[in-house]
Amino acid sequence: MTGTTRRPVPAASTLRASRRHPRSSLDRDRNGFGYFLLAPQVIAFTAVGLVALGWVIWLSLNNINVLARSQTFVGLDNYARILQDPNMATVLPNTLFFVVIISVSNTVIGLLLALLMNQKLPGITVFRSLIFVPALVTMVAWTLVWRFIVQPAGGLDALLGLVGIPEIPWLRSGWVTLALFAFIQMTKNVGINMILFLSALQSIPEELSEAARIDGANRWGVFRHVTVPQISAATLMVFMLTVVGSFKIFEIVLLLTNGGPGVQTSVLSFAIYQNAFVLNDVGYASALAVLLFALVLVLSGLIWQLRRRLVFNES
Amino acid sequence: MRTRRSIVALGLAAVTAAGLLAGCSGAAAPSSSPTESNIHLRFILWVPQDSPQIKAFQSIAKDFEKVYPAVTDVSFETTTVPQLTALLTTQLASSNPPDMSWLPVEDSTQFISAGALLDVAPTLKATKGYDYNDLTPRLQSRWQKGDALYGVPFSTGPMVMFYNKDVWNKAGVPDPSTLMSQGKWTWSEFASIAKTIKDKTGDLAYDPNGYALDWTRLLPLLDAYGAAPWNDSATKCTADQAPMVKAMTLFHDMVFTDKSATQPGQTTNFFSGSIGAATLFLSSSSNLAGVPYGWGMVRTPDGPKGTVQAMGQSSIVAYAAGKHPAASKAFLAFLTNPENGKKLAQYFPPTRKSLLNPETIVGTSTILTPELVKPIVDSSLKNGQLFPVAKDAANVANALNQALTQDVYTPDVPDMKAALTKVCDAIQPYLK
Amino acid sequence: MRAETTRRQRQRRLLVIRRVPMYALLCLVSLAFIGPILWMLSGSLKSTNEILRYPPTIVPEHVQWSNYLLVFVNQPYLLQFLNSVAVMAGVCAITLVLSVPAGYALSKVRPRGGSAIFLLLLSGIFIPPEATIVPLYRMADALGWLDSLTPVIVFTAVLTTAPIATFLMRQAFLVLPTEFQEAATLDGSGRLRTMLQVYLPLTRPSIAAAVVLSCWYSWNQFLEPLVYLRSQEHLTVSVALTRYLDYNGEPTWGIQMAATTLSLLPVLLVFVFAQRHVVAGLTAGGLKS
Repeated sequence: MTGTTRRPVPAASTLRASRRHPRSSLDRDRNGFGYFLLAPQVIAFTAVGLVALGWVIWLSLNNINVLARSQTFVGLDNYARILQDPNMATVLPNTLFFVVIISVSNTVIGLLLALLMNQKLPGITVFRSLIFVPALVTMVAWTLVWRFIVQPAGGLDALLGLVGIPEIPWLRSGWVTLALFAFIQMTKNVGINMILFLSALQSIPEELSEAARIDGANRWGVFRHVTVPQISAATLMVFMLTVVGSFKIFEIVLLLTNGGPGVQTSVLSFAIYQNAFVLNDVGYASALAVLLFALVLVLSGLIWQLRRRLVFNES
Repeated sequence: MRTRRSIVALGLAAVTAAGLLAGCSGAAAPSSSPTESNIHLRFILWVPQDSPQIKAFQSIAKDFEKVYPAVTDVSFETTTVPQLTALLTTQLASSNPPDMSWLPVEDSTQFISAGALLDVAPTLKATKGYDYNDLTPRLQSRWQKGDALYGVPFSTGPMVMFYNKDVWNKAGVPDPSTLMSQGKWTWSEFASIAKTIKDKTGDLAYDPNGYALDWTRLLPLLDAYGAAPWNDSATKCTADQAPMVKAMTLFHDMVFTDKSATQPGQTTNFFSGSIGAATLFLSSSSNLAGVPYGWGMVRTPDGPKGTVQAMGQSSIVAYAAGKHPAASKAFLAFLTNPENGKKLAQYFPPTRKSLLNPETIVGTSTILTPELVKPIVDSSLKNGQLFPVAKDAANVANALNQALTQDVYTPDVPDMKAALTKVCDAIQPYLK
Repeated sequence: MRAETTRRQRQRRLLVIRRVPMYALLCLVSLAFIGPILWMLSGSLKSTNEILRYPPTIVPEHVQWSNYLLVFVNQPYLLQFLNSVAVMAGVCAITLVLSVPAGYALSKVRPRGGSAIFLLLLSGIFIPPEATIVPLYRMADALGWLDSLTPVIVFTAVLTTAPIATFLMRQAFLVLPTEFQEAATLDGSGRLRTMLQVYLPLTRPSIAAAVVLSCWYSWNQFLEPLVYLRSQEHLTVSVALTRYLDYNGEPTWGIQMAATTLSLLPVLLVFVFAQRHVVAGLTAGGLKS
């Protein structure tokens, strides 16, 4: 099984050797062909992404009033404002909370659900489908439905009322509200994670677990030494997707609380939207966007390092 | 000799050309520019595409196209009030900006001081048969700056109180008309009635409908106490002054002590039938069609300031960023002239004196009757008070809603004045 | 013989009984996922007044089938749904065209600087649309793309779904043996042919995965359609759902829930019938180590 990914030694050393001598024609051709294949993606990405990034940086150096159609250069004033903005003391921790909590919990819960659903029970496919169905609804739709469930004196309160628990202001309870948002996001997307893990679990060859058990490993041992490495590629994929999804908290914030009360449930991406489109302050919003870029870059770097360490057999 | 003459000729030609270009570049001429034709106006509003209101606007637009042939099409694009600002801020900066839209009065000062709106007063005054003085002056105030008028109100809605007769009867409380005749129709009296309703029936007694997201829903209460978050010139916060403290204390008790008013953030609907009373705009009376319970409608309760009629407002505006200013202004004049004003008055309360009578206000409504509406019309004319507006409207409203939510709409507020001082601290930076 | 049968029957009965707690657990877990859907279905048949009643009713008192009709009357919903489908199709197409060669290049061809390029693309995946929407809007305006689906499709594909797919395809090609590549001749057409005819067919599950993920991402978009699109006829489902209002600008919840249910049905149908392919696609052979 691992043999298919290991290159035959002579060829590998030939390739590595030729990389050390970039002038060889083999290398030039390979580079040329490689760049040719990469060109569409890279050019498009540069044309759109880097231009957008440059433009955002330029906008962040200005004070822009869209209604008055005015634009004045103010240098780093907007960035100084970020440091003095009392809202950032809430918005930034909230953003971090969501990224960390959602990415970790969605991955772990996705794995747990996959393990749960990996049994040979009659009717198990029904349960698998039920968990996957929310993934098919748009985030907006899911959020609007949950709005009714968690509003004061809404469905959830009614349910709790049946067992005698008094009403809780779900949308105004600090970190409880944030956890609720994470839960709403999780129930929407974790179905995809579950399926990714499920297939990874089901593609683990039986012989490996058998071999481990013969060697004396208990269930936990098998899990740790056989299962986890075998699904590490899926784990990384899932983790990446959930990090992407953690930024999608925007719709939930917009439609449930509009960032409120105060900025208690606001996150950086929502603050950017609010400043740019509602508060008519595109310059400040752009500075916040640059901050977000920086955070994302750090995040990607971290995940890149993780990939090298954790993914089994990543060459 | 020849060269000098040719230079002069060249110079003359250049000046003439410049003059012609200036004349053709769509200057604010009272009539349409001779070279502009095939104009397509974009109009943004917030009612659904199948509503009678939009159909009314569309038919008026068709009439306009006959009178003003340069305009061949007016497209009405719908959005929602929460999405309106986002839409305008993006589109006004684009290469295809909207020409006109509805604009809530809360945004008036901000848009006007930013120079985003066109002054329509000259066009209106110059339009034959417009009767500019018919527009009630006191109700245009938010859109005026000196002699200039930056928008024409098409909907000036009084906030009224709808009450559910069945709920009130169940609680055995006297109804508003009785209280009014006794001179007891005040907010403090209403608060104790609300408490009785809640205690006796378990139903909510008062719904200010979404006040946590929009403080203006509390204006019927605040106006009656003479309370306002800022002074007339919108430069200083007055939220921590005595009238506001009194009004907010009363309201806070209703919400958190008596539990007779809706919780902040609660999505409720008076029309679903289990709430005692709600303060809403008169136009929402259409929701009363076919409800199974008995209902009534009265003006909002009085306060220390006496009878004050809170009025919301939206106007039709034309944008300076639009590509067809002359045509837009002409369409605005057409939409709000006496004849079309009457057509629109069926759906939206007008500001024309000639139209501000119970019959016109009732219009085609199957719910309202002139008798029901007359007291509201009277108090609108006599005691009508428009929403307070600030220049940095979006930021102030945001900060105010935030601060109120954090410091006032919370169960534990032992010192209301201190809480409101915190609110002032939050909004003062945006009041300049 | 009979003793055997009864023993087996007893064993089976014990098995079922022992399984009951497991089924209970499964039901409880599923409730968090399917509960809101059922609530949505219930709400779609209620009048707005009934929806906002407390305590809420589960079975509607007066079933309002008219809600489903009004979904199409209030807005051109069918058209909006097709717009969402068009966006998905466009995003998938562009994504595949960009990511398949890129993934192959990064895994099999490995030109110099490949890692740096890969890291660059990776960063694009995580940047949320809110950060770039303002300049992208102005870009779209300059290109005359406003109020059309083009910016929604192109920007999404280029910045987010193509990089994700590149990651997937790279992974997929990585686990395939390199012998085929080394056997190819050195001229361009040989290498291209090798890629297209030999390697590509072996990555079909990953391509399916890329398609599914691209569809999932673009289906859920809200901010981009909201900002780029103007007229009702061009809206996508996400934005359309927030536009169901009554004459006073208040949301008509029942109709909104009906619209939400309708948005779910086609996708659900596709899933039910193509479940095997969707799951196989998501399993993505490239995720095997």
